[in-house]
Amino acid sequence: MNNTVIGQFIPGKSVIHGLDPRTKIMTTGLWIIILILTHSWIGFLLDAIFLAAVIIVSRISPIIVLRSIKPILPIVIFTSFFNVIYTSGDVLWSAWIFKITQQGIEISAFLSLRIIFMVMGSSILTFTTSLTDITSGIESLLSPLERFGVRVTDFAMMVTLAIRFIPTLSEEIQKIKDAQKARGAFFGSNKITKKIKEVFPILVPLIYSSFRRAFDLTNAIECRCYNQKIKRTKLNPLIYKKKDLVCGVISSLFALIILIIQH
Amino acid sequence: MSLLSIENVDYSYAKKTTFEKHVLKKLSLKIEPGSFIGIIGHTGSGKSTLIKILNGLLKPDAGTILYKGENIWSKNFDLRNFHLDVGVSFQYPEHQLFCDTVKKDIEYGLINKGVPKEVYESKIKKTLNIVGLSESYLEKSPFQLSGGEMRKVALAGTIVLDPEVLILDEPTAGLDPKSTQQIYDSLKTYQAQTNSSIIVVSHSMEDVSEYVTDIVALDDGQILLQGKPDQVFDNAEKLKKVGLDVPITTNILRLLAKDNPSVNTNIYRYEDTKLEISRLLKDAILK
Repeated sequence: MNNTVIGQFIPGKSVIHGLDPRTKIMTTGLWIIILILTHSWIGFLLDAIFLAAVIIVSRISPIIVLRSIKPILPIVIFTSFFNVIYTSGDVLWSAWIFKITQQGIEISAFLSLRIIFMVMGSSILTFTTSLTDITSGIESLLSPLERFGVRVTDFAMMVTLAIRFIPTLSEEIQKIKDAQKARGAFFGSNKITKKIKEVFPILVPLIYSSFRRAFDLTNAIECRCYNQKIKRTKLNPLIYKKKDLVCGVISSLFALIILIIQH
Repeated sequence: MSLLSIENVDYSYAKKTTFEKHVLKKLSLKIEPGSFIGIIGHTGSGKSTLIKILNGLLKPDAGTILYKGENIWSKNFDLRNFHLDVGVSFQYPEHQLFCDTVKKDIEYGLINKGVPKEVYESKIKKTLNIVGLSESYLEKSPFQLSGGEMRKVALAGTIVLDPEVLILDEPTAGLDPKSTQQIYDSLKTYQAQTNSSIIVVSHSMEDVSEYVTDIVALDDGQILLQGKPDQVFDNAEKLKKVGLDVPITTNILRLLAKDNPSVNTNIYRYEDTKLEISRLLKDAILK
């Protein structure tokens, strides 16, 4: 259990790692729009080439990126299965009430590719950007909303704190588990009633200590006169650089190409 | 044959990643019945890992752990019972409390061990006596208690299982001197009653020298020094190099010895220090 599992951030020195988080978030958004626009084989081929190029530039092992689609695989299989069956069109093969059509295959293939590319693309964002950077990027992108009375900094602070404490809590769970094991606790029964009983010796101390931490943190924040009304400065302010411009131009051009091809 | 022994144990965290950390290096240690061992070491010297290895919570990458001559990682060894025979109380054990009454919390281990219900009461009574809590605590909620009392309840939850080896990670961290003394006194009482082995991990040289019979000083996953307190504290230079020290009372005596060679500098307990200083004072008055 350590920070490497959470947020999946893989430290590196590639160009992609060095981009401003806002650029990466917006590019990821653009990537999703591009994928929605794509609905032809040639389009998806171009998408695949673009994605491959990004993966190579990011110097993240392609195997790790491919592994990120594992959790959504059931959804992909499920949706494409029903798409294959229920799309009407030129029947290729039929048995009982099931009909497989050419259109069905095409639609489900596009849908699957869209989902898979989407997840791979956004996993590049999380692989190359630390969670702190992502939150400060989101905060900065949402800051225009402050004019409408949305307290973006409060929100960002909450998210940052929540994320910050994930590794701490997972460490805590491990500690409590060890302590209960030392008192003869057994984890991993098959019976559901026993499983529920097993949770209590971990959950109660965990909740208790979370409250303790929350109180400690509140005191610490108050002691430092933390106040959202004051405009806060950052240790590492986000500044767009030349490579962000390059990245923006390249991805916009690519989006334009896809748009032209599809019409 | 030792009660519990580990031989050439190696352990690394986050193996085969960039975060890999070699914590224990070819470490061997023998624990005899009835010994009171203090493990001292700088933060990150591998103390906490060593505890988990001793208790069978972590499996070493290499090396063997023998309990009463049996390899604990062999296939048909009952590891779960072993966890109970080698009781561990981790740092801040009060964080493991979860029941609504102190009684239930102390019983938790007994239930897991499968002890017959009839003996619960006598066992709990005996344990409360050892840790110095009155029976009026049994029906209280553990979350209402003070830090020191919670620590004692947690300790009782481990002691009630009659472990043959009792391992404590920083049992007195964050406690006031009085509670510290009470905790160590309960450990002494427990040992006197059962002749079990006790291992204490501590940062406090004063506590260690006051109570233990043997000291193991760890540095960077290896044993730096091992032996009786006087043997270990004889190597003050070596200890200071790795961020450890001799007890403060010994330091004072060693400073005094610079002006007065007759001062005995191999004294580690408060009581002995007091005697030595009053002897020096008497000598000074007589002169």
